[in-house]
Amino acid sequence: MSNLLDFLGTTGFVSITWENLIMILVGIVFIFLAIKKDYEPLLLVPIGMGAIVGNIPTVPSMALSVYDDGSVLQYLYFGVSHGIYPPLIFLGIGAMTDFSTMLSNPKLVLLGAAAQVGVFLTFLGALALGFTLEEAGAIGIIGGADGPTSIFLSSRLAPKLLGPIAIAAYSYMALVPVIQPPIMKLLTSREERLIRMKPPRKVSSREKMIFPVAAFLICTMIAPGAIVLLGMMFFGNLLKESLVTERLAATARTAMIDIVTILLGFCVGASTQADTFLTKQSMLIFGLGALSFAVATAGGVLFAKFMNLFLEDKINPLVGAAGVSAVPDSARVVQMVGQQEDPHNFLLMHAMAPNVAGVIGSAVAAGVLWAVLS
Amino acid sequence: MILAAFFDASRITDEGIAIAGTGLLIVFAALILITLFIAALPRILEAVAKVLPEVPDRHAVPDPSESLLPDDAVLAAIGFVLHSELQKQVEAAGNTN
Repeated sequence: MSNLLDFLGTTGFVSITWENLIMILVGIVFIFLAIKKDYEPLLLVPIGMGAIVGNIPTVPSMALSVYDDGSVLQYLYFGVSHGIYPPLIFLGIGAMTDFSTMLSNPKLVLLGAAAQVGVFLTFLGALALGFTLEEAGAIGIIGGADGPTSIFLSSRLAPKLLGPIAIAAYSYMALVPVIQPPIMKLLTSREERLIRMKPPRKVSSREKMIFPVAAFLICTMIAPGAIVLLGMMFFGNLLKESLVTERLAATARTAMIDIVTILLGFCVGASTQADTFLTKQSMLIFGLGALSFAVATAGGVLFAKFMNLFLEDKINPLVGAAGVSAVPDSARVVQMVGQQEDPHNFLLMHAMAPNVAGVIGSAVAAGVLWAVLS
Repeated sequence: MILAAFFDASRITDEGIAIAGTGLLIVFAALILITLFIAALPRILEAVAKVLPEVPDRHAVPDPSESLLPDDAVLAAIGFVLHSELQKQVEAAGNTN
């Protein structure tokens, strides 16, 4: 009888807290949004399930959670806490990315830089809210709208905030179709949204092969902190564009990135245990995260309008919103908002240029913050 | 609302402002250099091509949009087959009625 009572004492029904229930509910909401609304399902399903798994109360004497030494989940979480998974994801992203539109219209790269204003204003905002310089740097990178970069930098600068930062980054990436359109419409006139851009020129395969090596050298000579992320991304792209390593490129952009995404998403979700996650700091990070996405979107759109003051071939300012990375969702949002005004205006390929430039920009920003703050 | 309650601008140190300003400047510098490089790349390759002309690459993947484009003869044949099949079906339907 006493054995039975002891066992009952270890069940989740006895030790679960209302905070755990809230986090389990959050996990269920993530899964619902992914399935019903199709918001970033490849990320929200693993994170949502991870959040449910991570919030089942564990037995103190058993190593079960990501924070227990020797637990299976801790070994899987090692790739998150030591920043191993993000570069592997960047390898896959590089093997998927076609830089052609960016190579055919180089001025659009600047929009990817302008959107990084979100990173640095959020950094200042986090300082004003009382975070330390290192924590503020890790929070600021949420404005880069790049999940792997956010995880990588927070694992280096503020490991204690990794869970909330990762969840905020991925949640707002999923909510890009909700956050961006009102800001884009607010900052542009109907005439501007109707601007049609010249079709991109054909890019030679030599250009595509040279670009990853040259861009890597340029970026990392300036910001060596970006070596890991950009090195893997441009390596993946070289695998794709060299035409002689198609098997490796195919593996990087399919099986490998899928495996790492599953592990990363699930482990990040499992790290959101209520006692470490439901804190005042987490709430502030979520608030700043939403603000950072809005600021980054506005930065890209306003900079496109600024560039139009000097350009003969005008840029549709909506394209600037794609500078926040969140590949390819923000580019899709640009296409969607543009087509609401003119169903025959195809902005998607133009938006992909600042979109991939935004990935490079946020990796450089992460490299700079890491170098300065570590 | 939550953010406003905890916001205190005096916590933003000079060091923080310097890091933000420098960081943004560095990001712009990197991407401006990439822009300049991309803009110059076609001209560089044009000059290189005079010395090292581009030879057809044995690994090059044929453009699927080009290879799949049917020529006029194929289009005519497809049209003829479709027309013949339609005629047969019309005749068969006429016979059953």
